[in-house]
Amino acid sequence: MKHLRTTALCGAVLLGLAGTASAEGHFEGVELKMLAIGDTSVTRLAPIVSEFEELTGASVQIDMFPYPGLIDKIVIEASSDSPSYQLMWVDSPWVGVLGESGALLDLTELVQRDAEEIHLDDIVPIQLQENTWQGRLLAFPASGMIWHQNYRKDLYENAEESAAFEAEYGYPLAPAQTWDQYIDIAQFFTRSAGETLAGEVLEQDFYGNAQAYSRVAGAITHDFFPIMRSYGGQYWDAETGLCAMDGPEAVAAAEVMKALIPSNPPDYLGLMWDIRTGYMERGETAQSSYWSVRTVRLTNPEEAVLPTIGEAGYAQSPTGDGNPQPTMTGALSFAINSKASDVEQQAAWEFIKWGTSRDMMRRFAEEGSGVSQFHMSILSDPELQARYPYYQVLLDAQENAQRRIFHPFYADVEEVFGVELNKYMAGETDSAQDALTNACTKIDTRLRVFPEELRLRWINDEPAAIFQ
Amino acid sequence: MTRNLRQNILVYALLAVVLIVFMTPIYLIVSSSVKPSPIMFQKPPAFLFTPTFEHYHDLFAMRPFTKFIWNSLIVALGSTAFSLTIGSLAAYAISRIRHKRMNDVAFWILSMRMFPPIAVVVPYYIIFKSAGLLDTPLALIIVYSTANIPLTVWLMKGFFDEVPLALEEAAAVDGYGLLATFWYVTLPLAAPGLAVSAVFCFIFSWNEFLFALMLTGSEAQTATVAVMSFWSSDAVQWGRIMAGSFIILIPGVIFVLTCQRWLVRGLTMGSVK
Repeated sequence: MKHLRTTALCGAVLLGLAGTASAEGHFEGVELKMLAIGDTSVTRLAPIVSEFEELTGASVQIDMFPYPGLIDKIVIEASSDSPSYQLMWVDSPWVGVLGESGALLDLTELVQRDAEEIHLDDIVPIQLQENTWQGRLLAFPASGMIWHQNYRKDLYENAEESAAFEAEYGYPLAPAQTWDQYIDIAQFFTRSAGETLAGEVLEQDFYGNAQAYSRVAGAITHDFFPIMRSYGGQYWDAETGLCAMDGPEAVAAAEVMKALIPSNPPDYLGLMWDIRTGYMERGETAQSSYWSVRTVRLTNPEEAVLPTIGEAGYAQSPTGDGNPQPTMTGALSFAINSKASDVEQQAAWEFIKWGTSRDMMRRFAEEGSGVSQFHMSILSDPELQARYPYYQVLLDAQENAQRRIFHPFYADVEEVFGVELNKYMAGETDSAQDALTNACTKIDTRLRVFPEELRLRWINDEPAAIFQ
Repeated sequence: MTRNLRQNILVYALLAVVLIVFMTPIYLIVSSSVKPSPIMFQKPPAFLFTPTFEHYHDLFAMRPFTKFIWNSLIVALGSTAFSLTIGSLAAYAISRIRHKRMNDVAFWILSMRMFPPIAVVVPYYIIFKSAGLLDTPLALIIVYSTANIPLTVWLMKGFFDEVPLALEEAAAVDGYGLLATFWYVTLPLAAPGLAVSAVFCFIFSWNEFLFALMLTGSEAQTATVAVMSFWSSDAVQWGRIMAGSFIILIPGVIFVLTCQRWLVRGLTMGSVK
């Protein structure tokens, strides 16, 4: 029996080694180029690609370009039969337009083949669905994005502030569960310089919340859509495939954002993603909701002031009535150019497996790198949770999650709604309903050119075939 | 207070306002490039802080920024030199040849600047891809020259028109051929025009973004694209962008200062007959 166990163990080890060695030196002479941006999912990997090169023999060059314009460069690149880039960095809302143009290789078979090696069962399912188009997996997550709220835990736990809040609003101060509570908290904590906050006289204004209202790059839509979804709103009409973002849920979301303006920093119309998160990172606001890719900074005194003056707390996004609604997610992912040669595609897949592997993600987490994790075992790891207290929130939030917009007209939606919502927030449009109706009318004008059958196909969130 | 003194105070006050308006962006670029990230957008803005050069360090540590500046220089100087050579010869021909369709030719040349750049990006991409020129400085030199040559032609034509024909006739009497007359007589007299054209060509090529983004990879990437690559999906790294912007400003300023002597003459030439 002992011999049998030893033989079985040796066999398993040999099989394992054979699996690991399958890529070793196998791609000698293959040159891979990656069309990417300077996102943490890439910048953390770029300095260590030599490890992959030593392992496989392939050479890897990562070219970083600005986020604005990258999608256009990918589309142009995908139009060439002899591509310069084999690997692409992809933001999950691009999956529709890239899927429709046939730019990306379907990874379904590769993922199913290597399911064990990539620990497929350990990946949060919504992160895979984020990269799916018509059931085909077109990209693989490299960094997960989860919308959630951050707040000043030290202020919420301050006895004086807590009592004052309860006296004024009639319920205990705690992370908001509804948007009405979020507005209450924002109003309560909005203080001017000279007033007192947690027993100390403020030297500068303190804000109740910080949300993005800028129309640049559609920044305002990144805050608006999660709120709309938290009211149960949908992007599209399931019957016609036309714009549904002017319904009562969308109006409620726009009105929430409008109500938050007095508690927002005064330059709210110019606030983009990271300028908004900067207020939280400097500890100048009581709460701010945003994507998890920036949350890691709140734990690092080298990247944020808050850890040195207070403490950040984390919670799931509020909803309209406090009842659960699907969390809005996103994914920053790696994909393979469908026009690359077979050997390049194989080498590119090896690179993706290496760069997004559970071991690599754990290494990033242990090194303190700001990659938003998407493996359940990492998010639930007690040691890592002690270091990154928001991991449990991310894990819980994704139990009931719904993917981000993935429509081929995503860029139009972001641009049109960015402008119309921004005008409403600036007081240039009378009502939220007017602003959203204007935006939907513009989007529908573009969509009506296409047959209803096609429009319905574009909004069909077919589950990834890898789950079947 | 005398009237002169009052006038001087008013003039200097106005100059100070103009100076502040024009120099504020430069100040913001410089101060943001040495401001620590956590206080980058602090309200009210931090005017007094311990400067840090981490953004400059990151700029060169995280990207081969020296190479990208070098690419920008090659492309800008290459396109400027090529455009001045071809453009001044073409302008001389348009200025001197008498033909009823010459104005149409001049307008056709100008019309090349009327293309919206985005409309020609894909054709350029396909052409350069087929020619194996994608991600090379030569591709950008060619593209920028298509915009710079018409500008040079139209600027230089005006300067050549100002040069009296009698001088060229005198040169011909002395035995100069057409090219020698152009080189030794006409062109030196139009030198201010060359300086003006050079400045415009250089600045356009140096600052251009769209074609540089679409037609280059890491080999020929220019500094403008490299700086903007610090705009990612999760953050706009303003400190690094500002550090890069400040460095990008320097060659342009040096070039304009170098050409300044001829530039002033060029811009005012023809204003007084």
